[in-house]
Amino acid sequence: MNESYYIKGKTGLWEVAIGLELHARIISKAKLFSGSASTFGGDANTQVSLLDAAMPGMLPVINRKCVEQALRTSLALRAKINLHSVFERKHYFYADLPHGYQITQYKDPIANDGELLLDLPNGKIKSVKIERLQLEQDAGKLLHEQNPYTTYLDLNRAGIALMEIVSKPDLSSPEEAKLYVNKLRLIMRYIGTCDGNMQEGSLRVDVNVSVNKPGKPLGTYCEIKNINSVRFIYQAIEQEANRQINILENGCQIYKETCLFDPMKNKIQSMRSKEEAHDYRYFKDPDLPPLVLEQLLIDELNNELPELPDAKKARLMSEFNLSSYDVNILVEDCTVADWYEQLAKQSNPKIAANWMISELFGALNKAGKNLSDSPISPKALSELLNMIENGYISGRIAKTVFAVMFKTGKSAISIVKEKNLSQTLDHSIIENIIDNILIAHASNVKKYKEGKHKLFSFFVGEAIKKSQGRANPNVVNQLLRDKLDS
Amino acid sequence: MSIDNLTARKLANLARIEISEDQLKDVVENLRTIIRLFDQLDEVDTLSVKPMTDITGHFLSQRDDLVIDTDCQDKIISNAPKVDHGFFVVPRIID
Amino acid sequence: MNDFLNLSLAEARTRLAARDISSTELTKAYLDRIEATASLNAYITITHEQAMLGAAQSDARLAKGEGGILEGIGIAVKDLFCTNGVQTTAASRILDGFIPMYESTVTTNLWNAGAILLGKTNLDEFAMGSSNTTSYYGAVESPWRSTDAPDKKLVPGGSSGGSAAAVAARSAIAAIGTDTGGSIRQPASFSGIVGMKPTYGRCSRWGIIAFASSLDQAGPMTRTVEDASILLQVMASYDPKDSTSAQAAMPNLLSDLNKSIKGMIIGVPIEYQIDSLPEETSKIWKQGVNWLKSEGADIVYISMPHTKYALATYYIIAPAEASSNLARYDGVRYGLRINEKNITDMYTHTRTEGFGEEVKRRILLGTYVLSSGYYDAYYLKAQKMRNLLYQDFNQAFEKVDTILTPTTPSDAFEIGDNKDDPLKMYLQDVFTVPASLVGLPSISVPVGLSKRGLPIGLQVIGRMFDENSVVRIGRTLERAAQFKAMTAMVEDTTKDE
Ligand SMILES: [Mg+2]
Ligand SMILES: [Zn+2]
Repeated sequence: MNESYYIKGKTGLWEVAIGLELHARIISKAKLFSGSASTFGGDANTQVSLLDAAMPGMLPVINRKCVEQALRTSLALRAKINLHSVFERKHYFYADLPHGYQITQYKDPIANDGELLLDLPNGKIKSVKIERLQLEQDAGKLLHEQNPYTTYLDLNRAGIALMEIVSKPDLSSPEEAKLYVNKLRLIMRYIGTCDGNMQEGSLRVDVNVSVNKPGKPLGTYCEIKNINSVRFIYQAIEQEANRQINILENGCQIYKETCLFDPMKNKIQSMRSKEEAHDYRYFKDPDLPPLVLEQLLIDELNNELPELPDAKKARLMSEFNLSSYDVNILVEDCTVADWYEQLAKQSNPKIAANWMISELFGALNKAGKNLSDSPISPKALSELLNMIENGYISGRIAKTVFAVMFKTGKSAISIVKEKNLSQTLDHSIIENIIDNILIAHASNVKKYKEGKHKLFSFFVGEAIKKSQGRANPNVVNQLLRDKLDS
Repeated sequence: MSIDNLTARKLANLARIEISEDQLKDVVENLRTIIRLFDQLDEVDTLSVKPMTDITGHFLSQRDDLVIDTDCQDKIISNAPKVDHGFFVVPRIID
Repeated sequence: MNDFLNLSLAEARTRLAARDISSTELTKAYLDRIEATASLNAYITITHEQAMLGAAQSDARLAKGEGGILEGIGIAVKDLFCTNGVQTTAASRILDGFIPMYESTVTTNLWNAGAILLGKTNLDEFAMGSSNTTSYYGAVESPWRSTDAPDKKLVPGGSSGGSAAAVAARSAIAAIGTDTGGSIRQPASFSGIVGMKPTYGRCSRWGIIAFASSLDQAGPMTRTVEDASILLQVMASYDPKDSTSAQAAMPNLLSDLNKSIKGMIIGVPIEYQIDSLPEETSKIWKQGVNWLKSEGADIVYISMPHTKYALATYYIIAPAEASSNLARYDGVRYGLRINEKNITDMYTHTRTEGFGEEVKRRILLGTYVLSSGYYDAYYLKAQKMRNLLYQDFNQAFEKVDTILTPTTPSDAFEIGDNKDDPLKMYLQDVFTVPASLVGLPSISVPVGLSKRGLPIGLQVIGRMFDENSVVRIGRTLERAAQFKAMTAMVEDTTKDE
């Protein structure tokens, strides 16, 4: 891949600057300011408290867990945590916003100045700066399909805790945007603060895109709202960048506006007309005193933070001498990495990585299963791998055994014993097989003795075949050399 | 600072309130009178004064992560002007 | 029978506990009185059956020698407190018919102490007003009449005007109200009763329809300072459901109530002597100073230089918060809906029809002071002013224990007066808003009559969480003033005994 990403326009090359705003739904039992459940789904308006419906006289009380989840995420992003942060009200009228305002953070968010490291395809590491992380409420859900004249409103989602994570416009290609989202999602999954499920809306992305000529300052950006798949992020950025270049090259100006990406048409549409200027009238929520945190709590949470993907990757590479390619696959999910580490402790780490990535993942994929419901445990797989390592069975037989293990959940040893698949070490049986082969292929024996030494592997192959794979290749080699070269 | 008809209309629009043509003059006049009272504050130099956002001096107390508000649907929709299958129903929102 | 109507809450408690009277009799007497004084329009909803049922249950408990502090006593509740299963309107068309399925913390505390809901009292719409003339359910009439124009109907003050009129007219032994910039103290002063706003955070705001969240406080409205103390003691509690609720425990207000005030230092702020202050108010204020002096208190004249900016500060902050708090009334989930084909029209027409003129005026003002371009000049400036006012009080309280001022510049005005001049109406709050902005406890105690024969009250302001000193000084004034004046309406009822 190219070092830099450019778009070629009529007037030359253009650079793209991308900033991302992620809305990540926090994993917690209850909502940010109420005691109703924050689980996805549920019948309409069944997970709604009096506060979530903005009933008169109701007041918000913050959920400690949501605060801690935001702090964990901030720590994992190496952000500066503000021991004093403030909740403000952001006002606008929309049917999915019961109070007529969203409780969010504005001037004093819970954290600023974080950083995320991207592993670029060229092997370099890029640091992307994170401007802020704030806690805020989600809105309800509107359904338009029920009836052509009405809209239906479900408030189950209203008030669920979100983290808004805003990056600087440091990303310079759709590919980097993709890497950023994936990396952030990976980190949040590692620390258990957001499940990252884009289909269910646990992770929603707003993209700010601007274009500029190389060496020139950044252009005016437009915001593309609520993109719900990584593929669409990619497409939306490309579309938007090209749209802007087109406008600029026609001598027109870019106006700051909010757009939607239509994945069906692969097109950007303007969402709000310029006339309807928004005035959110932010002010500190008088129902909520400032959130004041103790450094002790931050330190505690920091100490409890699990090993993060970058650290895990570095450790696995050095500890087990694995390739960066293999490690990237293993750290993609912390349960995968944990699984691998258990396996690697009990068997050859390199072989373990190969088997896990190709055989186990292949079988799981085919069966449509996750690692968590794998019928084979790390211990069971290590037993199989150790049988190969000790020469008890061949790699080829091991694959057959693996298939049975996957299907039945039985141990490798019991399968090998049951089907009598162990590599026989009995010289006399192998010798007998070899003798028979040499008689059956007397003409090839003659050719070999005349100097056609390439035929050696033919005899080895025949012997293994006759033994149904149970002859130890080392023994076959040794016996053949004795008989043919003497 | 004063308020004109256009500003009043903008405010009304932001607040989702309608001011009819014949009310506008009175509304604007009344707002102006009150805003004149506000402008009295210009006399005070507050450059180095910190805004007071909280009179209690409290910090935010935090709730445990417990689901305590369950089976609320009745309480939520019992006063609704229009419901269907547990949903609130509103006029069509054109996207 | 009418004996019941002259009981104080404290006396009623004693007689109920002694089983000298029954809650059923007492409650019935007040329900009858509500009917007899219906023309005052003090109540929006009367919970007749619920009250009689509650009275019977209280009698059963009292018979067993059980029962709470307010067992069997009927209380009138401002229709801003949400009451489970009982219509709660904030006196607004937008909430007409709204029946909450939850109970405010303050009223829950009352019922847990054995009190009985008599009914929901009228108020200025969303508690915005000083006259109780902005209610969707019509103006409240004061039971008082002036000597110079006895045929003219007077306002009871506002916004807790229904509660004030009910206590003054003896259609409730006691009532509760809310005070944002004076909405308990001003109507108490106009109506010749005691009204108290505790320290911000003392009473939970959970379940009280919000007007201006950083200022709203519930408080008692009674005929005596002792009654106010008893009632407030029950109303106040730390409530984890209100993040601004105070954790500090309320001291026992009755223990020091009648103690001598000898040696206490009373501040008299010179800035409250405004040019427009009528002489009779000035005179009564001086009289109050002299009473306290003769009871052994030391009087100190103090300066609170930012006092004159409090009104502007208040009328920026309160509407700003109100414009936000009232954004939820959109016709989607409860309350009035004016049907329209598209949602924006529905919002606009619902809110335009649902809110009255004063409420809409304050929403517009609040929207203005928060909007981009004006926020710094108004809202931020007001927050800074709030800090300066806070410093004024802080400095004063370094020298004094409480502060004595008039509650209102003048006595009650006629219904319809000040209607076309919002600013003149707002001036009613000039003495009450400073304590509100700083969250301080304060009480209004009736101490005398104006030339027109209308009540005038004095205000005592105390330190944060020092309700004790406030009620003690209040009680001293009450004892000294011996305010016994009764409205003609009440006199009539006591005469025919
Ligand atoms: Mg945003
Ligand atoms: Zn957001």
